Amino acid sequence: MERRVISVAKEFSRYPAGRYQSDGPYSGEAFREKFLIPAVRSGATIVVDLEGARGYGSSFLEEAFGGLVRKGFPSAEILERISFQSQDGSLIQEIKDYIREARAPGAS
Amino acid sequence: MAAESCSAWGNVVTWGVVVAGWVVVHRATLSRERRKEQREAVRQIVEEIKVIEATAFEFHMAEVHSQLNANALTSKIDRVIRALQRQPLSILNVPIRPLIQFRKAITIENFDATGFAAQHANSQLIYGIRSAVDDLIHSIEFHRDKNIP
Repeated sequence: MERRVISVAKEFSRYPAGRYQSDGPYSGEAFREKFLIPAVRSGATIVVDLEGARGYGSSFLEEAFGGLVRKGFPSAEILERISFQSQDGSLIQEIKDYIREARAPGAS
Repeated sequence: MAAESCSAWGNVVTWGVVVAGWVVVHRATLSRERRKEQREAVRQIVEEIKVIEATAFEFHMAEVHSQLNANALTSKIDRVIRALQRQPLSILNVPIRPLIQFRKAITIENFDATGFAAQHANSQLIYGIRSAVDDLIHSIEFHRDKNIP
């Protein structure tokens, strides 16, 4: 299986910020649409490298990763296919929480 | 001859005791200095957290959203959380949950331009930030007392 490494700082922005595209070009929604969804659809295993960025807001993280579940990708599949690289363990745990807690479309 | 030999041995023993004493005192001094530095690092990080709390209150209670201030807050929060997981503060072993709650309380709601609204001092969001900061500081101080004798 193909392995795709996505470096947020190198490929997207060192200053990721905002939840929606209306908040700016480096929002969680933009990251999800431009990088995460195409990578997931390609069938590759994905490594998201979180190092190098000047911090992440929770709204960015929730929209980027929790938003995948709301877009119809099952949380179990996302957790299996996407892994994370960061020296900050709290960041990885927080993202996994958002993936687990997000509601799939149509879920009550 | 026997007296000289006995005296030489006496000198060796005396010097041995002196060197061993110096090593013990030196180690105790180093250990005390290390603990002092660790306690100072804890004091500084607690101060930084309080500054972030005050800045977060100002940010959320402002009439207009400031992306510049949001970026500055994100960066400061990141620095503090990483510092707590690196030497010398990693000795504290602060659990991950209060760190997540700290970032989340400040940056998950009302943090972006879309839908930003000035908060009242007694709003749920402000209360949540205060609560997350208190929990984090409490956790740091609890683990300081436990891990830095």
